Amino acid sequence: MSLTRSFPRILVAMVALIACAPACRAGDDPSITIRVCVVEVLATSQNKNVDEKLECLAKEVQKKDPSLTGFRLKHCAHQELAVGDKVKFPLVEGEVVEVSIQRGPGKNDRVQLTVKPPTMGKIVYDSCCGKYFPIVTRYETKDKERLILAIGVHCCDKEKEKKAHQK
Amino acid sequence: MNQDPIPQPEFQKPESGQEAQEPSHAGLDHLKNDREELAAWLNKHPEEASHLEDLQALVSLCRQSEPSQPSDETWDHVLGGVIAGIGPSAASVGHANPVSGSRTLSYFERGLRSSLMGAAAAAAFLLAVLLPHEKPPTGIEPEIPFLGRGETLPIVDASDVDLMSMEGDDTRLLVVGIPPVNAPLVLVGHGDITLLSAADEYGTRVQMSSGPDAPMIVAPLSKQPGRER
Repeated sequence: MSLTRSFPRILVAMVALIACAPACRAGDDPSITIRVCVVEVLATSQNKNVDEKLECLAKEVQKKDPSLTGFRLKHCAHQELAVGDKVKFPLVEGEVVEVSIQRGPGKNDRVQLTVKPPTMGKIVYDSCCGKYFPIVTRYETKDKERLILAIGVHCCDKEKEKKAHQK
Repeated sequence: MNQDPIPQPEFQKPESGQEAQEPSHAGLDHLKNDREELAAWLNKHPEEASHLEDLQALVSLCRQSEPSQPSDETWDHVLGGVIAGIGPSAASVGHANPVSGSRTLSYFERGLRSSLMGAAAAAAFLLAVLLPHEKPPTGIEPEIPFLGRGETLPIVDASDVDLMSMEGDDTRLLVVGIPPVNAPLVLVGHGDITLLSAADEYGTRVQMSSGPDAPMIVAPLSKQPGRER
């Protein structure tokens, strides 16, 4: 009898556990926000002007393609995303790059994301927070500038930020 | 050929000299006609005949009482006064020397003119100061929403605004706020990233560069499918 009476309660508890299961995956700490930053860089061989913020990127890209001598910061944007979100960032000449978060930062502070740049397929990778991953695409603008994307992931702990603001 | 004759003007300019003083033959005929017309008209209007004698007497009186022309001395005096009234530049141009009386008159006129100008300036200043200035009606005075009267416009600081997207050239124009990228980019190093899968637009696998350099993906410029890097 007691088992019969407690059955609805057990059922409700099981349903609640099943419903909550997707939100409790490893690395999906709700207090941590993931901010994806997309930096759009146009590289050219027609000049040697390098934006001061892009000096490190230019140095590394020139090791792969020495013909690219000029680097300018065309556009930069960032957006806060949750796990499963998919966002399109607008680029030069109407192109877009699609970014989605597959997994949030766990104990190792790495985020798994998928990036779909123009003229390329999907790129899936794990990245640490706070640094930029360069992708030199095949896309060239009408002015023969080559599109380079630098994707950065920044993880912020909301509770820590609140405490810092309160102080 | 069949042109009409050009009409002669009715009034002719009187000619100077002896010919003008002596009436011509045509003029005598014209005068004779006028007299005949006048006599006919008086016959028709006898009541007006009595005025003819009075009119003739008046004409003779006017001819007798013709005013004499002013002398050369009088003309010089008037001309000197006119030149003195116009100013020294005109006086230097004129031939006549201004007399002492006209000099006094010029000095007096200058003083009067200066006094009038000073009085006008003072009156304008008093009007500008004393007249109440027109204020814009309070009904159409622009008001900033959510801002009380007398409050200053609050401006955000860098911590109040979060810039989500920005053109690279515009970051230097930013007055308040921090652009999405405000420092040199720090690239990932080895161990910071793990490439799980990557392919180009044709599905061909793309590899991440290896070696001591910073890891990155460099898509080949060649658009031919099947080329693997």
